[in-house]
Amino acid sequence: MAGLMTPNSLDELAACLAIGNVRVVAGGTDWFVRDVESFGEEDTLIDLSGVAELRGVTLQGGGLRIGAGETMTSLAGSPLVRTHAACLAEAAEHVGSWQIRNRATLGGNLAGGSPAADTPPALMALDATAEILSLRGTRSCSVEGIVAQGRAALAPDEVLVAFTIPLPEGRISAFGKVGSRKEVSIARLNLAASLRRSGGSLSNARVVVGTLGSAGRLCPGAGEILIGSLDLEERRRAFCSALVAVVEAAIPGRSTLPYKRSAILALGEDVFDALMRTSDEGRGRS
Amino acid sequence: MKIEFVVNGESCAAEVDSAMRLIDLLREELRLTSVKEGCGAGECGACTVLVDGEPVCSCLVPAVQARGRDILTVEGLAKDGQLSVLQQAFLDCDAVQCGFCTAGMILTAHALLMKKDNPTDEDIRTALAGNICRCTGYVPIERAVRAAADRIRAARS
Ligand code: FES
Ligand code: FES
Repeated sequence: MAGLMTPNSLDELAACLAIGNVRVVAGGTDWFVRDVESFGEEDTLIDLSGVAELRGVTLQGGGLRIGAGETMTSLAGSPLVRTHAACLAEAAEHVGSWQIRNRATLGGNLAGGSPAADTPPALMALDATAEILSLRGTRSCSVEGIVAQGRAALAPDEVLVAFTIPLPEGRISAFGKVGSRKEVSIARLNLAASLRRSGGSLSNARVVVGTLGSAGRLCPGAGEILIGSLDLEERRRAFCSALVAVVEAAIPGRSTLPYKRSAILALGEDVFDALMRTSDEGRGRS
Repeated sequence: MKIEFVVNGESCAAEVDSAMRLIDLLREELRLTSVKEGCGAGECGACTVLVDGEPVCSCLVPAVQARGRDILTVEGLAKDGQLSVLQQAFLDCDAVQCGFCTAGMILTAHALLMKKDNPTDEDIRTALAGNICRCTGYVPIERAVRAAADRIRAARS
């Protein structure tokens, strides 16, 4: 019969990983619906929910460190996340229903590998790095790198421990998504963007579109326009056109293209306006 | 594996395995049949129970995650044969038709009222967005939650 283990610390978790043929479950929102099918009689399930070190949001060495076991509810309600990683708080706030947000974790949202996941584009826009534990030790990898590799990025015995988001002075960020209905929707398209504002000038834009076949696609062209020298109206238009071009290149001929083309226009405007509003407020929000 | 937890204020212990969901533990082992399975996929909210005061879909939660937690089902709401204010408001406002969604609705609303004693209409709708009702059209449910909030505050002052 399949095994079951409940480590309470990272050390105990490491010991559990050593038995081999293991699968891990955190919030469980995907487990019985999707992952359990590939779980064999010889396998062992490790419940991560008791591992204390997977929780916590702290400022550490100039960055924001977020435990991979933090839930969508806790991220959306965290003053630190809201202040320093606004787009991540917004993404978390709009995942699924209240019931789902209470269980779904930041690590699980990335490890699940769904192209429609909401928090990976936000983590990418914030240039986050993931800390990954396995029997081979701890390694770190950019969220961008993990998203690029899809579900193959993590071996079955690898566990996301935490994310670190660098906090450059004056960074602001915003997130938007379009779904089929107002609440509880799976994103048909999402968009996260961050930039730095120092004095009157904007720099370091990172613009990420999700759900185009992968959980996040970095759009350097749109980023350049975002911080470019065009006046506001022209910049908004050019930004949206650049995003439309990204969508057209990503899913040429796909039946969803006309829908996504018009959706990205609306989303681009929303995110652009949110960023410019925040940057006008002149607060050090990020 | 044997786990210990609290359900509706009482300490419990149960044998769980990796295949068992929280809804199975509550319905099959503990016979708490107020917990209903609609979709079994986290979409309808009929299976909602509170874990440490937070609504969750018990069809998604591995039973082992009940370990050390405090779980509330509708069976734990009435006290001494007296319905809770929220349960009574559901009856008074005709917020129950077939009743399949009702236990989940009431628990989600209960969690909301524990956090916000005077929720806005928007708060109520956002909180209940994960609870689907095929009968009532939601208006009486919203009204019931509002009525309960008003009654609870009135009783306190
Ligand atoms: S039965 Fe659990 S959400 Fe539908
Ligand atoms: S009363 Fe029938 S589903 Fe809500």
